[in-house]
Order: sequence, then C-alpha cells, then structure tokens
Amino acid sequence: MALPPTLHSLRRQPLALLGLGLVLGLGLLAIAAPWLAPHDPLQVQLGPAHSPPGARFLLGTDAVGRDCLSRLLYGGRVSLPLGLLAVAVAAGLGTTLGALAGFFGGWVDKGITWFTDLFLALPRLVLLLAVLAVASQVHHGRFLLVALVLGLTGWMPVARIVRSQVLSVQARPWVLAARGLGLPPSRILLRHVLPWALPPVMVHASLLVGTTILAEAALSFLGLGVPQPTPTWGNMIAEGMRRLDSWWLTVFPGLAITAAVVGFNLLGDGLRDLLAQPRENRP
Amino acid sequence: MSPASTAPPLLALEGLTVAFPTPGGLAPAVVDMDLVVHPGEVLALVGESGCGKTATALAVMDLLPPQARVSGAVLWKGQPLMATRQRGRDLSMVFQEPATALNPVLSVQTQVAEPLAVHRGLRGRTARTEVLRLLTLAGLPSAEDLLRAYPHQLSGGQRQRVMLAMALACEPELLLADEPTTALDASVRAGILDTLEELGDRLGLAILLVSHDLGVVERIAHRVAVIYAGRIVELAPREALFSRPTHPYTKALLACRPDPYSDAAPADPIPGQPPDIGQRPPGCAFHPRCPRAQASCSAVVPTLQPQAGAPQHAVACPHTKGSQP
Repeated sequence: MALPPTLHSLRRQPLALLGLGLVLGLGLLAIAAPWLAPHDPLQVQLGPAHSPPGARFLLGTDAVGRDCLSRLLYGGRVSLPLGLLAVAVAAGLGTTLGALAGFFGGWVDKGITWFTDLFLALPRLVLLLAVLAVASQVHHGRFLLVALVLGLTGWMPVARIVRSQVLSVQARPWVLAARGLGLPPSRILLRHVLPWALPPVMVHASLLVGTTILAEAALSFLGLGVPQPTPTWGNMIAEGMRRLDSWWLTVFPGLAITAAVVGFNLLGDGLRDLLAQPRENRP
Repeated sequence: MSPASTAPPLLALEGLTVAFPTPGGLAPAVVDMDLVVHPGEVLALVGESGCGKTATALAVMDLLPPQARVSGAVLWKGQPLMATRQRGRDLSMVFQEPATALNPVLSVQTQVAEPLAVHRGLRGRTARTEVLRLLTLAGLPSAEDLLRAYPHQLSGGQRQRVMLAMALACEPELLLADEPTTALDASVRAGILDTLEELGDRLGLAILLVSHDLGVVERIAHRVAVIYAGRIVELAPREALFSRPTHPYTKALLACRPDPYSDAAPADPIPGQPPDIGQRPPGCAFHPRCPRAQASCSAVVPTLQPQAGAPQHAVACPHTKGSQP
C-alpha cells in the first residue's frame, strides 16, 4: 500500500516522529554495541564493585565490577530482538487464527473464538511463570524459549482485531465480485481480504513490542527470563534491586525500557492516526 | 430478434424462495419464483428497490449472506446448478457499483488476469494478450495504457467495462447484470447497453438483467418479468409488456415514467409505499395500493396465468379481463 505518502504525513506528527527516533536510536545503539561499548560486558572485576557513575565507568559498575554502560548497550541486543521476535510470533499466529475465524465463520469461527477467549481468560503472567518454571532446566536457547512463550501468550488481541477486520472487509463489493468470479477461497482471503486487515495489526504490533519488552523485564526480574551473565535490561534491574543504594544499577536499564516502550507506543499511536485517516478512493 | 423459446432453458428457477431472519421472524425477499432463461435471451427483472430482484440474482450465484434461507431449485440445463463450481465459468455476474466492485489496490491487468489464471491456467504473455482481448470485447479497445491503471484512475464506465471483461473471462453462457448502469452517467449508460446487446448477439450470451430502470429494460430486454414484493406479477415479451401492460402494478409503473420529451412532472406516482419485507399484506401484496382492488384480493394470492391468445404473456391478477390498458 502507499508507503511514500504515509511516510510523508508521518512528518506532520511530531510525537510519532519522536517515537520513530527513539526506536531507531535504541536499535542503532544495540546494533553498534560492539563498537560503542567501552568494555567487555561480561568481564568481572574491571574496577571496584558498585562504583558510581564517573569518568572511567560512565554509568558505574555492578556488584561484580562489570561496566554498566557496556552491559546496557549489549542488553539492547537481547531485549529488543526478543521483543520483536515475540511480537512476530504473536502477530503471525493471531493474524492466521483471526483471518480463518472471520473468513470461514461457522464452527471454525466458534472454535477459534472459544480458544482465543480461553487464552485471554488465563492471567498471562501466571501462565508465563508456570511454563518457564517448568522449563527452568532449559538453559540453551533460553532466548528463543522466552520469545516463543511471550509470543504464544500475546496473540489473542491480534486474532480479535484481524477477525473483526476480516468480517467487515468481507462485506466489501469487490470480495463479493471475486466470489462471483469463482476465485478459490484461499485466493480471495489472501489477495482481496487480508491486505485490508493488516494496517490495524501493524498498529497493534508496535504497541505490543513495548508491552513485550516489559514482560521480558518482569520475567528476567523474577529470574525466569534470559539468565545471567547475558545482560538484558530486565535482568540488570533484577540484579540492581539487591542494592538499591547503588541507584545507577536500576535507573539506567529502567530508562532504556521506558524509552523503548514510549518509543514503540508513540510510533503505534502515530501509525494508527495515519492509517485511520480517510484517504481518497478508500471505500 | 426473438429468442429461441423452444430450446431447453439455460437456467430454470423452480419455486425459488429466499428469506432473511429478522428479529420479527423470517422475512421473505423472494417467494416461490418460477422463471426460465433461454440461451441467448436478455431477460429483465424489473421492480422497485427491495422487491427481491437482486436477491434472486444473488441466490442463483449462491452469493447471499450465510444467514439467508434459500429453498426451491435452480437448474442449469436441466441439472441442479452447482454455483460454487460453475460461477465464473458457465455464469458470471457484474454488479451495480463498479467503483467498489474492483479491488482498489490491484491494477486492471492483475484483476482481469486473475480469473484467467484460476480457471484457464493462463499466465505471462498469453494472459496479457487474453486480457487485452477481453477488454476489447467489453468495449475497451487498444487498452494497453489501462493495464497498469488502478480502479481509482478509471472512469465509472471504464470500471464497469473492466468488471465485464473479468466476467467474460471463461466465455460464460449466462451473465447476471445487477443494475449494471445505475451508477453511471446517462451518456455512458447507452454505451454499456450497446456493449451488452452486442455481446448477446455475437457470443450468444444470455443476460439476466436486474434493473429498476424501464428505459434500460425497454432498450435491450427480450422478455421482462415485473416483480412486486418478491413475486412475479407480470411476465411478457418486451413489446407486449410496453404496449399492453396488464397487471395494475405494471400499468402504474409505466404511467409514472418521466417522459423525456416533456417538461411535465411524471404523470402518476403510485400511491403508498412498497410493503415492508417483514409485513407483506395477505393475498395480492399490491392490493393496498391497487386502484382496482376487490375484497377477494386480500384473501387469495393470485398465480401467474397466461393471457388468452397470448401464451407468452402471463399476469398474476384475476381482475384484468375485459379491461383496456
């Protein structure tokens, strides 16, 4: 769909631009971490433990004398991709199930809606804790496991959105015309219905990245996320909680999470405003 | 031209009934309709909005919403019609709103090529050649420039012709045209009607034309079925219908036609409103608005009876004998 005009009108939305800037900025910092980080993030006893921010360690050191700035930069390489991957899983699963439910209706719809409601009724954090606690012996591929579990517990709103979009797009005359031409249902769904259901999914997905990063932080905080010594923003906060007088241990990763969540939320809001704008010839 | 009325019918509706569930119960849109379409003929369904003419066409195509209740038989050359397998091949449909019946984000070539790829396996250059041939057939000759255009770049008439080209992809024997010219300017309308007429003559295409526009019907229909409240009230060859309208409703319809050559207001609007779909009057549904209604009209549903001396001309009104139009 028309991307250039979309980007163009994004320029008229300062908050959305700020969001885009935050997201891109954090992404670039994470990508460039190996070049930007002043120290090895895993190297212990680099300096005295719990040194406050200063000239040598810009953001201070932690309990075992690791450099907090380096860990923060490297943490973005885990937290951000983990959030994106989880959202990709959630968006993919939610879109598939929602599209099938809305398009085929009948018992397919009933079954999928029941399944969605079932997942929505379960408290997410409890589910996450249960799964991850059971899988606490798994140490290899913890990143993938956490991303997958977060994705598999986050797809329900996407499914609902896509289902309702598909239901409304299906009433459009060109869908009726496509059926009248005898096109197979799979083709009608993929080419004539689904593309119209995706803009709200994009909006929701960008909002979801924020909440997913938060969820990962909460899990890591509880010791069920990505384990030490790999730095993530969440497990850095968890570590810092043990010594709250060393405020820099919690504040900076907290700020990073805040920036990411705010960034993705602003971007999502901006996208929603953009995509909701009435556009010429868009019935 | 007179259609070959003796040939076996292409399409036959036998007791077709369509009803929609409403909070107040089942609302019948089409009631017990019998109708045949012969090969190569243009049969028009005429009536006011909500009389069931579009529901009839959608029922034939099996395109009604899932909650619609359909009963009765739809036969294709004597066999039950398998609409989901035959639509797009043996029979096709064009719709009222060409502005929205095309997918706004796909180019003309992509859309016209879609049924070709699905039904005939045509791709690449062969498909392109065939797209151009179909567009020519639909009245868009030398349309190379249009292939890359998107629907919003086309005029209303062009869109309807693109839609028509898509419907013709498999050389169907029957085209259902639901108000094909209603959304178009008068000047464009004439061109589309010419094209439809030409397709009938050249390809032997039968057309089931749904329209409320008597001008359109008079121009291209061979036979006309006048529908009121879900039932056919008069069925006749075009000349007979327009020169000797017999059912009071048909007469009233013709009487309230604006005369294009006079500035006078249309003669006589029909008093009252068409009945609500859920609350059709008992007996003949037209009796509350009929100037000739009698007590029996509210008791018995009149059936279509051939007129004396004119077996092709059937009327569902027992009180027409001896009356002159």
